[in-house]
Amino acid sequence: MMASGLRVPNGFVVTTDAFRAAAGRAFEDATAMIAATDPDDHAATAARCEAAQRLLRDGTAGHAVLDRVAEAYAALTPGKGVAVRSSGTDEDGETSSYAGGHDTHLWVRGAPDVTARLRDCWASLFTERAVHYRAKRGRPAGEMAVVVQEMVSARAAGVMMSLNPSNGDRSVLAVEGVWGLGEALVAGQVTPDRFLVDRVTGEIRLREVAPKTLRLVAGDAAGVVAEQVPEDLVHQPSFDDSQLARLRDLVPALEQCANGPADCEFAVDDEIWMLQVRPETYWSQRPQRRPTLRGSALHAVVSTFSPRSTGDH
Amino acid sequence: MADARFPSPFEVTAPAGADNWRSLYNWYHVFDEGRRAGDEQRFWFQDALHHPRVMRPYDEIQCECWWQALGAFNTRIFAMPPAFGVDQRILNGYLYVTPVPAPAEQVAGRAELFRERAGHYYSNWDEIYGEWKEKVTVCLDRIKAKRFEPLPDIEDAQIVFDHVGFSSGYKMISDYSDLVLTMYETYQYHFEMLNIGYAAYLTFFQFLKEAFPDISEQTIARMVGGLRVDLYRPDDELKRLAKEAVSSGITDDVIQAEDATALFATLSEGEAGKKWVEDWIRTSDPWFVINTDLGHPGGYSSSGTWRDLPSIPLAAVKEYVLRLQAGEDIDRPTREILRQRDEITAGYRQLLGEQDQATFDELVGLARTVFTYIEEHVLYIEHWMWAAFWGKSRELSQCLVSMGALDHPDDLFMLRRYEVMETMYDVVAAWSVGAAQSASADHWRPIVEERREIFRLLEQQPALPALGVTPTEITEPLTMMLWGITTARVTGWLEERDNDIGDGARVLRGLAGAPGVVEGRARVVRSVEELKQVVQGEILVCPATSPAWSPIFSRIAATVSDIGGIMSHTAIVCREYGLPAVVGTGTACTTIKTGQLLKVDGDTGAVTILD
Repeated sequence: MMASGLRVPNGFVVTTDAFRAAAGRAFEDATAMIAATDPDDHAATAARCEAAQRLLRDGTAGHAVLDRVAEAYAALTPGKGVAVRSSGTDEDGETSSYAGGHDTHLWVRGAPDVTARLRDCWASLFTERAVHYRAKRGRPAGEMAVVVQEMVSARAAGVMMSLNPSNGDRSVLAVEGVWGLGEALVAGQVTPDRFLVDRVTGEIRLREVAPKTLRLVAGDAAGVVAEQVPEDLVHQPSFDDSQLARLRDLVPALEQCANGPADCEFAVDDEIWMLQVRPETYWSQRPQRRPTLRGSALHAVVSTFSPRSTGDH
Repeated sequence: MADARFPSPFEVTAPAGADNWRSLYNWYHVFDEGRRAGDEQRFWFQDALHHPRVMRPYDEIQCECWWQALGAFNTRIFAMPPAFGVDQRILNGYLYVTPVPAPAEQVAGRAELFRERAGHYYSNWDEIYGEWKEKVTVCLDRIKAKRFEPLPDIEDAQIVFDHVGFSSGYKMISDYSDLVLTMYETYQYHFEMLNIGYAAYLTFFQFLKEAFPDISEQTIARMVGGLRVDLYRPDDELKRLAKEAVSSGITDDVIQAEDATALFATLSEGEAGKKWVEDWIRTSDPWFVINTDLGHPGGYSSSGTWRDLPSIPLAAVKEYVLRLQAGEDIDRPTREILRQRDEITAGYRQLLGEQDQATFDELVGLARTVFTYIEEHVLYIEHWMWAAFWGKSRELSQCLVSMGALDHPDDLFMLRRYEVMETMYDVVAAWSVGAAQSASADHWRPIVEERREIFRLLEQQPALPALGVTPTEITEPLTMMLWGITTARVTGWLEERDNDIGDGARVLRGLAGAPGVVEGRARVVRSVEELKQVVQGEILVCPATSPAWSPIFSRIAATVSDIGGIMSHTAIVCREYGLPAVVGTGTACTTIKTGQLLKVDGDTGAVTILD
């Protein structure tokens, strides 16, 4: 994403290698423990999940990898909060979409908290819902990379797809937006504004402004809090036309990252910051929409004006 | 919507005192008992696009021209597969129309004929359009060459020595007959190319809508428009005259002029001014032969042209002079429009799969080919032909007044065209035998008087938007595109009928005619004469526009119209000028009041009344 010229907040990735180094043994034990459990036995599963998460947390405490993480954190903008996001290898792959299934921690400050939340992320491989999700799809627990990224003091945030998710039309961009942090949108806490933007001409084809009474902002110490949106902003669109135009300019780079139609999360302060880009999962796996009118112009005209006369001539 | 219906045409009553309104129109053109069973089951909408006002009896020819010609070309010549013609009836002076579908079992057979016949036109379009211009020009010259003058006491010697063999009286009857028939003939040509042109454009439209359901209608229009067609020439000539005025040093006279005739007289005293006036006069035929009708040009005998009312083009020239003095660029950004056209076309082409790009290329090519005709024919037929026809009709009327057959030059227009022919026979017979007077004046006087009163009463009662049984769905593509009549529009009429609109912000829905969003104060304008009230930056709210309205577009912030589809003049010109437009709202003129704050969203087709 950074290589494609998109603006991405500072940060670093705690790789799966680092995960393996710090958690290798504990991860194997935890995996074996869960594998021996009947997923339909909820009480037993719950207990084993607890235990597995404890194994991960305790087993990674004090590991040298955490010192490296603290060093990397110290190199970021001083005093800025970070987001610590899990990025499991089976999350958001080409064939599954498990957005939000693992942990994300926002506005984390200070090395001790950052490393603690990192370990929480690792442990979240074995939350009940993650275990259940994998069991249903017959997948083993993948290894986990974790992204540590400076928070954007988002005035507004949103998601964008480089097609219309309701009909697969690739000539428009579908954008949703809220005030404050995007988590309110992803978690469905706030009804977002909706926009459809013509990707060729830039026309705003749809502008549905929802009343947005809540927004998520940084808490005083750590984490985020929900607060009332000031009266004069409630009915204002979360993005203005120039921001939508800038999003449109980013589409080629985003599609290159996603290797096709893209689905991304972004935050806006004075700039547009890309937080995540992944391939769109539904339409991009289906044949592209095509007109039914085929062949010569004359054949197309005749077909348009005689719907019952099909077949090639 | 299926069970909803508008009033039956047979339930609608005449305004008090106008019971005899049917006598103003031809008996075959009104709802009658003989066709009642069928007519009551059809859906009729008021053709506010072409005929928003009550028509005078003589003007009925306007509707009849297209009633026949559109029908014949769709139904019998090109065999448009799903659609026959568009049927017409007059009710209380307003024109109502209904498209006639072709029977389903005929569609396939008609498609084969259509392929051959329309295909021939598409393959030879430019050449046929060249022939078309010649045919229409012959008709125009034929009408302009006619002279209606009082018949002489003694015929010219030429009649004898050139062995002409017929009297001026006979010639007068023959000329009148030919005047009407020439107009009727022109309408053959009008529809020779129009509906198959629209069919090609619509197909391109449909093709893109299937691939890109969210594409806007105006984006499609922008891919084919923007050519330097003659339709824009009148406005370009106004700009040219403004520039000439600046370079000739006569700007003060032009800006301060109150009256065109007085200005021309003043200017003619100086060398530079004289040249400019001569330029104006040269330019005015044909470029200022622009009808000033409300809505569709040429529809009414009562509206003059820019040439008849030079204060209209003069107001525009003044405006352009002022903008030139302020250092503005007044030219249409033709190059930029063409650049955008190519960019949009390339952008959408690229979004298509490779296997559809060849069809796209052919369709955009064909759509551009036919589009020039679609835009230009208006100048030839709606402006030049109708202006010539109404002008000669006025000349005839004046002549009949001079010969004592009518009392007033306007009386002729209160007669049906067949009644005018009756008058000609009477007048010519009386002249031929040397009688002291013809019977006409006494015969028509009470009739014309009664009709004037009926006409006045009819005009006071607004038209209903629709009559009869509501269709479950409007699918006929030409109706949707030309009139902007869609299922949603009809549903909207029903809702407006059923619900009183409450207080607070209200939204009118129309078609997105030209992109952009602006807020501003409304100016409701129903005729060209009212255009001068428009203040810079206001939003024009009107029934529809025509090229006569062109000067206004440089002054307004947006346009909202009652009638018109994406191909309407309003939509085309607003796209050219980069102004937002919402067209085909149906009720903007009656709902919106001058001075109200509006938000016009030309991207989505919504007009919000903010106070």
